[in-house]
Amino acid sequence: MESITYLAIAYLGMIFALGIWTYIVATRHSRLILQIESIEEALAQQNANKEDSENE
Amino acid sequence: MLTTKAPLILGLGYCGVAATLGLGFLWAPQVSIDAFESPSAQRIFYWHVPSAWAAFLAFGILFVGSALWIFRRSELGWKLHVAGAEAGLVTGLMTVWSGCIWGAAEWGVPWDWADPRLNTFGLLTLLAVYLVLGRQSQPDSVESRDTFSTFGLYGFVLVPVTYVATRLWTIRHPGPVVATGEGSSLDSDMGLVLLIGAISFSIAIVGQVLLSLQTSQLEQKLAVLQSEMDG
Repeated sequence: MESITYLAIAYLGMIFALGIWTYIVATRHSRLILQIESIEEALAQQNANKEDSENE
Repeated sequence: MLTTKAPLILGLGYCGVAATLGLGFLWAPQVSIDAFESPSAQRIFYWHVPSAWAAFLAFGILFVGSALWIFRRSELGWKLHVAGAEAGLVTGLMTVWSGCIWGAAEWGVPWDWADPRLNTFGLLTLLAVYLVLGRQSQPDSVESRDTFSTFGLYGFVLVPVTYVATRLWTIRHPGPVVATGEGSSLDSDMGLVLLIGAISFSIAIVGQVLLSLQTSQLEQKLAVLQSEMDG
């Protein structure tokens, strides 16, 4: 194999490893934020319903 | 708080990592074609060496985190353990991968089972694989944290062994060319690119660890909200 081919394979592998890791960390982070937002919304709705039923 | 700046620090680190690649390819001088079997493949080092340095840094964070968990039962310590193991896994795999490719190009074999540095670094990376995969497959408990932290604590002994390996036994892996204490044999431009790489990878690791700490905080907040929802 050509010297330059080894170089390309090495860097492609390292870029892939760095990319996949960043993707995993970033998606885990944004998924958690979405989950927290949806639970906070549900809790706010729950509290609003509770207040409504108390007022009635 | 510092964790809110994590994506910024990570981005800065990655810009430096990309700049290192650009400088290594476009600016750093070509090595002598007489000194190397595969001269172009030598440019692998501009990421190989800094990623190895970053792996040592990550294993250092893993060690500190493991010690804090074992001796102080510190929640922050456990988070550092998790972040250090993940960072050590990626940078370790990058180092092993690029080292194997360079070995295949220069030595004709990707791995030498008789070379201490290759094997101790390979063991370190396997330790990170065990810690990351093991933690994901086990329920989070004090016992499992103790087990993984013990491995993180004692596994760290491989870091100084790996560091001094080429100073004591040079078999296949080249001996040190920087920080040798007796004047570097490395071209100054090459040394500068390696330095930029080491700084950039270090910043990226710090950014990733901070992002991981931020993620752990979010996980805790989610758990509290879920129990509030259930209760």
